[in-house]
Amino acid sequence: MIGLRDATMLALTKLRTRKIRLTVTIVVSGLLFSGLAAASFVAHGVINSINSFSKEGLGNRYLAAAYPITYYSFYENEEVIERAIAIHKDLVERKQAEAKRLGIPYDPSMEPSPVTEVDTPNGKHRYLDNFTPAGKQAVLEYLTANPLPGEEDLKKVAAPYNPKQFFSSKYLSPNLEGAQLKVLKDGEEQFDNRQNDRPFRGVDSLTQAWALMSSGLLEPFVLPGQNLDVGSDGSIPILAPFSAVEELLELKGLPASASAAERLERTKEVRAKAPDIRFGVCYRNSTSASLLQQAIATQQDIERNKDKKDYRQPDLVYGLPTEPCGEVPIVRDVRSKAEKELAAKQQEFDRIFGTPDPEQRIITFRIVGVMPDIEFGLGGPAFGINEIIRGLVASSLGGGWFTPAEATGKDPFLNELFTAPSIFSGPESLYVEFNTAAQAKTFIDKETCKPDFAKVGLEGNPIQYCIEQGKGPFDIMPFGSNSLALEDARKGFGKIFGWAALGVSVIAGIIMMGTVGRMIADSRRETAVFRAIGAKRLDIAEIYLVYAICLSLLVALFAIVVGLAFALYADHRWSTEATVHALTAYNAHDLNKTFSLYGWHTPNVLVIVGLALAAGLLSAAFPLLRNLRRNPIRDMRDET
Amino acid sequence: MCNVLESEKRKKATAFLKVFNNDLEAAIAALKDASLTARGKPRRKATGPVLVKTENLSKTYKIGRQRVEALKDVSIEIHEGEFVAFTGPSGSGKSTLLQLIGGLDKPSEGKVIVDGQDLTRLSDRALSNFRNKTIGFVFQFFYLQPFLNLKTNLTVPAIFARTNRKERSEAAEKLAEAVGLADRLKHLPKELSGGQMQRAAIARALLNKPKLILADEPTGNLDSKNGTAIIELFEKVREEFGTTIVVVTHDPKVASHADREIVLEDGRVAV
Repeated sequence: MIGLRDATMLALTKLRTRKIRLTVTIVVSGLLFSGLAAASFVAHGVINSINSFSKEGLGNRYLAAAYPITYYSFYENEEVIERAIAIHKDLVERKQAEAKRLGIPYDPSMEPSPVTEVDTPNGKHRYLDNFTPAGKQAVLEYLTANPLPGEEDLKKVAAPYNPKQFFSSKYLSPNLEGAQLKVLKDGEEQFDNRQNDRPFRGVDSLTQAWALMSSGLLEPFVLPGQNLDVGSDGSIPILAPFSAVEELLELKGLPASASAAERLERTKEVRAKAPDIRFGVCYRNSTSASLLQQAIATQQDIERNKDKKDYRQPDLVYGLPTEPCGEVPIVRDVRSKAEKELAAKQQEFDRIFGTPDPEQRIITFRIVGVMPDIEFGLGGPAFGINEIIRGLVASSLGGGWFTPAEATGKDPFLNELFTAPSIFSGPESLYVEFNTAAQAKTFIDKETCKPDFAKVGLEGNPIQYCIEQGKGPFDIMPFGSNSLALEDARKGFGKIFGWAALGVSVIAGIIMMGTVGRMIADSRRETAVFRAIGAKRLDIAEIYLVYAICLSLLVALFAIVVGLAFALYADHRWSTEATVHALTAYNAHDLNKTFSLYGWHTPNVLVIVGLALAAGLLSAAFPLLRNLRRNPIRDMRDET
Repeated sequence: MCNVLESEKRKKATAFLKVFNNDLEAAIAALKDASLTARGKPRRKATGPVLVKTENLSKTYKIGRQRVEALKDVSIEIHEGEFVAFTGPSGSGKSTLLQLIGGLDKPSEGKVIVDGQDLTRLSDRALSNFRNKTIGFVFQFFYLQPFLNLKTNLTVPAIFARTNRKERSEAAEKLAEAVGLADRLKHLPKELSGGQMQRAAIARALLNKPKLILADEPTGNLDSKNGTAIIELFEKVREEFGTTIVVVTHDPKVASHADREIVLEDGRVAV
């Protein structure tokens, strides 16, 4: 073989021929590889940033969320349906007896039936209506006898994997059943019966998005100087969503057109002012809430008709509470004595059969952390760049309101609120922490159950199905953006990168083969002359291989420069946006931290250079082998 | 006459030595002197040992289904230091004979022995070495690399001989000087005239100090003046380096400069 320097010198002469074709090849192949390079730089930037931010969240912990497999086959369960019918019959009989005793009218036909019959091609089919008192009672009895998987089941399933500790969370909303929670604004209760069109934003989201969660999971998200203890003034610590804190601070929400820089500034402002904000929430149970709605409607009706001479106010009028979260007062009562007696008897009758007395109270909260808002695709396109960024830097906990579960031990009312029996209250979400990523990974891989409902069937029991599959009755996944999820993301990227790299290399190789093949064909005469003056076949091969390497390096260089430019552009364009989300999602204590979308990753750059080289060398191999077998005399004769 | 020739030979040998001893001015002067005395010399008879010998050489090509006998039973001998011209009409087999002697192609039958080596028995690698070290090729169309300057073009055979950079650079400079192209070393081939390009090609052929120069129509692409200059350069080379020259030509003027003319007709030696 001739010296590399000489081979390079001779190879470089080839790069000076067919410049347009060469340029097109470098640009097209380079663009293909630049996609890989850009993806690599951006992915590495994101992974670095998540690593950096997640040190402050749950990032360095190995957590798995286990969602109990639930099933609602009791809707068609004949045993439950029969039990509901029996309860209904008993209820009607008791109500008839009680109505008779109290001397009030009662029409059994008005009592809602717990079973609905539907005509189907196979005849009549019965379904349970669990909204009826009898239906609800039957379901609660069934769930007591057949409990859904809980923490004890998870402990048994996780035991072989050496778990470190367990956590849980539970949303309040299923328990409310008509009760309401309203944030007092400036200490005053707001009275309106308008339907909230954005139930998941601002302070109004509390009713829908308030959850109890183990303090072990909340601690990393507590703002500096705050703690998760119930205050000496009885204030309950809460981590509130961003838009709610904004509202409590009386900051006007930024318009959708606000720049990322403006949002970043707002984030910093909210984070700085949020600690220790105290606010009251008025809780009204279903009876109180219903009375208040009645009072609001009546007051509006009176206001509307105040100028009508023939308007007559109802005999019984409820007024608006005179103090924040106060009782709903009667402001007019011109009923007869008999009417009042009948109403009192009806109230007693209702109380006997489950209608509670009105109850209201103020709960005082203290903000100890700021969480992202719950996003349900509200506003903006579902697959926009902002949604992608939001997905990348999703909070470990998710969005919403969080109160430490331990607070229920110090506040009996809170405990009562979250433990009220409800058929809609699914089992708690459970979490298990491990000491190592490997333990967590093995646990998730081996124990997660995703029932195939096509096999389980509508009336089948998915829990039984999971057990038969040798798995726990839980759908288990890495929790939030912790290191496990990050590892999965990295592996996922690696897999996609690998396939993309293969595809790109093959296509680029084919494109390069065209150019290298053409160049080798064009150089037949020169090859023949070199052979005539003493070049060995290996010398010729070396020259063309060095040419292919030079071409590959140019392609790789182009790809890296374009990929770098794209990643830097992406960083310039979206880094602030990502920082806004990351600061809240990870509760970064350093508010000047930035989330970069660019990261240099030498191994991936070397892989891209290597792939370009491989594509170039393979593309040269076939035309070169064909060329080396040729007779130099023929080539010289053909060309002259 | 013999003494005159010996005297010329000594003068040219002196010039050659001076070139290789970096005494360039003296070398150029010596070359000019030598070339003047060489002009108009009579044909001479070969006396040195045999350098090239072909025995019953035949070459048959297959073109489609047709077999073309390019050479038939050719047996010739060429002695060291001889200047031989292969002449004959187009298609007579002279270029084929040249290529077989140069080890660029294999005969269908017969033997080619050059410098004691039977080329028909050499491997591809050994043939490459043979072409690199023993033969210097000169082509009608020069075949210089268009993107390399003259100096680098001259060194290409030395690259394939793995000669070190310094040595081949010095040799290229000396040969450029010897062929009158010392001031064109940095130029690209496109900046040279046809005559200059062919002189450069001859210098390139001489770089590895071959025993035999094979030139295929070296003046075919040149005007008469440049053609003559090239032939004179071959004569000088033969005289100074003792190199054996074999030229394929159609041009009787070129042939007239040779010591011997081998005429081919229909693949056979006619004279």
